[in-house]
Amino acid sequence: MLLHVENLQATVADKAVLKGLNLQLKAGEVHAIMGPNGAGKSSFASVLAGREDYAVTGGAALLNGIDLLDMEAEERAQAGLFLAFQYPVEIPGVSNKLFLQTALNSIRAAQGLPELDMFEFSQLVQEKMKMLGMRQEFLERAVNVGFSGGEKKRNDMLQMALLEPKLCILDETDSGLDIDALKAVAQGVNAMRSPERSFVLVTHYQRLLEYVAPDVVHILYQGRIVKSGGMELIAQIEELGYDALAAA
Amino acid sequence: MTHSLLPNQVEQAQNRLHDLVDEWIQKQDDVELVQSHRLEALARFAVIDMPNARHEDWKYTRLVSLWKQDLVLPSLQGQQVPIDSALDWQIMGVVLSFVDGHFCADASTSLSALPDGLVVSALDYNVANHHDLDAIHCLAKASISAGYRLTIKANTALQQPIMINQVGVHQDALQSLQFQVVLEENASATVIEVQQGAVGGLILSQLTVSVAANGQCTHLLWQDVDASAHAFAWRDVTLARDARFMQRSLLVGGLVSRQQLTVNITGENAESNVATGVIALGKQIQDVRTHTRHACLNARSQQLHRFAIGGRANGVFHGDILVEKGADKTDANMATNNLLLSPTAQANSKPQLEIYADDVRCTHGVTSGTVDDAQIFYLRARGIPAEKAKLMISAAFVQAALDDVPVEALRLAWQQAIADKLQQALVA
Repeated sequence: MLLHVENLQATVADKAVLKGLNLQLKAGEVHAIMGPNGAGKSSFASVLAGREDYAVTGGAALLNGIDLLDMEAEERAQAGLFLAFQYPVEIPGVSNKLFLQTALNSIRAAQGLPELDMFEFSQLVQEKMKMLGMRQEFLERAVNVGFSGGEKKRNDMLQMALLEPKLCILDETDSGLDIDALKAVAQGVNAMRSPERSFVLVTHYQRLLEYVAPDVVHILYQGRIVKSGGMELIAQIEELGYDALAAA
Repeated sequence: MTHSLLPNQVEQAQNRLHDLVDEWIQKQDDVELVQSHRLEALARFAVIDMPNARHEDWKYTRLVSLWKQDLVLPSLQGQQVPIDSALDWQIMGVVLSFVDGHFCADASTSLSALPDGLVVSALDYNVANHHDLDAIHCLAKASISAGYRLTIKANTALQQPIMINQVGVHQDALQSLQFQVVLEENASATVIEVQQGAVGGLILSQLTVSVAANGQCTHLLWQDVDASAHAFAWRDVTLARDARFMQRSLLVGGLVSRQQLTVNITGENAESNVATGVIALGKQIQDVRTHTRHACLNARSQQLHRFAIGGRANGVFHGDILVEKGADKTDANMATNNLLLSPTAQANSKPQLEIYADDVRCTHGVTSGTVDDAQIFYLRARGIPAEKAKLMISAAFVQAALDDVPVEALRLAWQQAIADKLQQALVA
């Protein structure tokens, strides 16, 4: 099992947001987690990634059998976890190039691989940018500063392509995107699908799922996964709404 | 409190400094004009009020550590300059090096091989300052041991920068230098000032820059003296019609440093653009003071001051902008941003506007904050360790003020220096 989450409980500002969440994910699978506002979708993504505002009060989360909850945020990234942000942060003054190179080399160092020099890095990043249809100027700009919503998400996709994580969690990465940007995100995900890599798509809408077909759909409701199934669940959500579906 | 001194101890320091400089002046064999200027300044120093915390200008910049220092005035000449190996200064243009206040020919460009249009001559003692002298400035004037007047002739565009390299080697040395840079009409030049070393010393520096019509001066300042030194500088700039002045400063050294800049805009359509990156760590006091005077139509002044402050350090900023009657269409902006790297770091910023013209656009703003947790998390979520993330963000904060330094070798050296300094702070 690539990701094994068992009875996960967490609070933020003393309010319980995850109340016994269970999830099993095999390598190569794409899972969608859907749910209404306030169900705990973003909380789940944040807890897995190690955001410090959240306190884990019970349960376990293992990545390839290793306890994620015991690690610092950077160690989780080094272990192969990647969070695509709902709102990617702007970092004035830090160039995208420096950021990407530092990130890649931090992860390589943790894996015992030699660091890439400027030349090797440039070659690699050009290749990935070409794959995602991104322009060169992206590298020279400060991280996400002055980027449109779509550009920020594309930048997250570039980071994902470069860091080659084992588990990618996309936290409502489709919210507020126009159709072109949404397709670009979907293209990024599809290009990176492989038997070794898994995805968790946390989403409020079914739009993204029209372009990236999930293997399993989960419904997260009041801090728990209450239903799991295939694409047919999406149709039921449309028809019944979350409240009725959760009660059924 | 162990850090305070009794009033008579300040008085003793004043007497000691007076006697030290007096004795030194007696030993100099310079022309009478030079000697009389020194003695006149020393006479003022003898009776002037010493800086103290009760005075608004010195409230945050305490000089207790300076009064306790037992300074000397070394008379050594012709010492080797320990040139910073990070930079090959010689390729940078005209280099004038001074060790402990004395010109060092071995580490300087030959004065007989200067580029066309640059004239180096003796100081003109009739150039006045645009502000009242305080005690330390009187001391600086009394103890000037070397200095030059650099004239860039009309219509000369100096391609290579002029570098003034001020190094302190002798421990606890007082050194005082003065320079005058004169750009005639249509002339342009870049002047780099570097200050290094001076363990336990007092390093005093005066610079006047006068830019005639259509002239352009770029001033790049690197204050990187030893962490035990005291550094004070006064820089007076006068701009004529259509003149341009650009200053970029990286201020990282010293136990106490006060860098004061006066920009006098006396010609229409002139422009001053000043940006400062400051790092204050440990118990450092980094004090930046600017006085900008708009005296005529259509001129612009732009200022950005960025302080990264850690440890128990204090970042002090005072900036005043005076727009005189008739100086309409003035466009003056001043921004100060403080980044606090520790809970005990202090920022004291005081911007001031005084406007007597009607049709002007003047703004000032001060922000203070800590490194944004969301930014740190974003970097950590990409595998970058927390310390490194904080370093990248705080270095970028300072760097942003200095990104357009036009001398590439210096820009790169500064990038490295900023990262190295902040690294010390974050490891500590």
